[in-house]
Amino acid sequence: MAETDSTPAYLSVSGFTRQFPGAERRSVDDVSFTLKRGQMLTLLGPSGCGKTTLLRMIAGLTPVDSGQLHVAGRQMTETPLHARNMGMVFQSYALFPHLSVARNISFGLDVRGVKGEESRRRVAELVSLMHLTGLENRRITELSGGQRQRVALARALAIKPDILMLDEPLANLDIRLRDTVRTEIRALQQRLKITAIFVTHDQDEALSIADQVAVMSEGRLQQFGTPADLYTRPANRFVASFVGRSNFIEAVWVDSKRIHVEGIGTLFIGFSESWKGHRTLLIRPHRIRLGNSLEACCQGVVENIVYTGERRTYLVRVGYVRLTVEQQEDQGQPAQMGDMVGLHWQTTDMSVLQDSISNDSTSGHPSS
Amino acid sequence: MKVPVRKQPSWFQVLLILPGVAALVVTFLFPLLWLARTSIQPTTGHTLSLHAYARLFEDSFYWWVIGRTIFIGLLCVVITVPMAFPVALFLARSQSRWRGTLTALAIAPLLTSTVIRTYGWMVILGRHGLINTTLVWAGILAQPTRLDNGPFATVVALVEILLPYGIISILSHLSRLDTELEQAASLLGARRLQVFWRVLLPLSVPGLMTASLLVFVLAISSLVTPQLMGGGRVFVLATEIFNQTTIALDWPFAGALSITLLGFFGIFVALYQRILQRVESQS
Repeated sequence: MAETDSTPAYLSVSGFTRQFPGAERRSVDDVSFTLKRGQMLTLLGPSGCGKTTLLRMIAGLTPVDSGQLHVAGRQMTETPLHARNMGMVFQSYALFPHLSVARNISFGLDVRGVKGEESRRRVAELVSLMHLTGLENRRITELSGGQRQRVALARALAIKPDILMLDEPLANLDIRLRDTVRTEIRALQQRLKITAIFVTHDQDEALSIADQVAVMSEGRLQQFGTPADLYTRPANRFVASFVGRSNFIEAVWVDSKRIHVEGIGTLFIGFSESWKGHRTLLIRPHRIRLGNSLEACCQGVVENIVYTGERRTYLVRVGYVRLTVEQQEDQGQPAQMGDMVGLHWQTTDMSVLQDSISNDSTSGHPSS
Repeated sequence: MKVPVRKQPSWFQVLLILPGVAALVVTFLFPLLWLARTSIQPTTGHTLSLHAYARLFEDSFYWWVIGRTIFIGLLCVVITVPMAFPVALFLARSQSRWRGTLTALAIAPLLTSTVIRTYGWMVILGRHGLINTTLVWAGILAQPTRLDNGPFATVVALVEILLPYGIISILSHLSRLDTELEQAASLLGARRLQVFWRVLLPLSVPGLMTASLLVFVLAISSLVTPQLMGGGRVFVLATEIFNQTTIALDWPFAGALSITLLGFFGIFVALYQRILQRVESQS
């Protein structure tokens, strides 16, 4: 950590707040974070969480009520759009329908007065980089979705942007294309060492291509960290349920060897650090192991089994609580419906969340 | 994009368009055919002849009327469309809460009859009208000059009368344009004027074309305004048809003039289609 901290922040957002006129709550509420040069940040959250508004505020497309934006040490909060040098790939791509592919790509150069050989060379470079060779003189309407997406990216890259922004760029693509394109975008971003912000509501997408992930909900930044941070050390119940599958149990600390869980009873699982009152504990479904009842944390009855080839997902009723358990296909003897099974896990398989269970009603958010 | 599947229309769909088609046949197609027949049927005798058309094309006066009609139409387009565009642009892009009200106000003149609005211009442009009185009072003119009763007054009044049509047709096109295109242009480094010239204006061409056609067609077919504002000195096809029908009572000739005017409509609509196709194949 110390080593990465020594490099200065390239993009710094502090206290960004935006409330649309007539809106009941703030779309973006006091959001702050920093990003280093060459990093890819994904803004992750459900629709309406404010991630696109935040992106548009950074781009300058949405006014900022309060807060500061610095890029490479320069104050950019009030900089007019045309002077920001930010590349944006819109969800709709927003390509110019009256211009050819080549003229779309060179648009940013044309308005900057970059002409002749230099402009042609840059366009040719991007055309080959984005695999658009042969399509230079096509109209936008003659292109497929994937080709349009690449033109949009080429057009944004042509101006050598300080920050590349992508607003759900894969949302309008065929589902089979998405994985390939996202891998391509990530490879390109790393090769060109571009600082990029990528908005998505898809957690797989967010985690797989990011250096840093910002999880948002109701306008607020819930957690900012690396993909591994979010999964292994979620800050709260929202992040835990949005990133990966989860079981939440509400527990009271009894002593260093026992906790009392609502609806289940006393579990012989120890936490050296004590807490007062109820706390939400997170157990990822794959960290629970099915086994015999001897020495198990608790016992339950298998109520449902979903088989997906790689793994079996069991729904096990323990007392008044239902826990999701995932077992690899080759992991032990499969249990049958109605079996009494023992559930095994250890203290290290659980994380203690900071907020209480009554905060959020969503539990076991399914992942795609 | 899904391509809609083309199906044979069902009997129910045919049934639905039947009343409309029937109304058009009775009120439009039939009178039109009747008009065409009138134009080739002399008042005396029963043999059909193209006499009325021969007279029309032999008399240089009517060539001059046709030329003047088209000239006034084009002049109205050239003045009205550039005036309507900024208004439509403002109404389409304004974030103001008064936008709805302003749009209604821009179109409100259509609620008033053309006759009344033309009289309004007579009051303004008349010898003792608003403009003359003001100019004389200010000492710019020694005595009132003649502004009304002529081509100038006709075009002024027509422009004002046709302006709302221009505004709505451009507005309806602009409001379909994706504002993200302008945002994208700005982010790519285009200043406001560059956004206008490189993105907004080229993309507005179909809307400007529609407005031009509409204004042109309405201008060359207008009767009341040239009649009242022209003071009997502005001869256009519409006034000529009116005169032949009501004063000269030469219906075959009036019919021939009407068919000629229709022919010009046809030519300009075809021209418009061609240009629009070319524009749209580019976008």
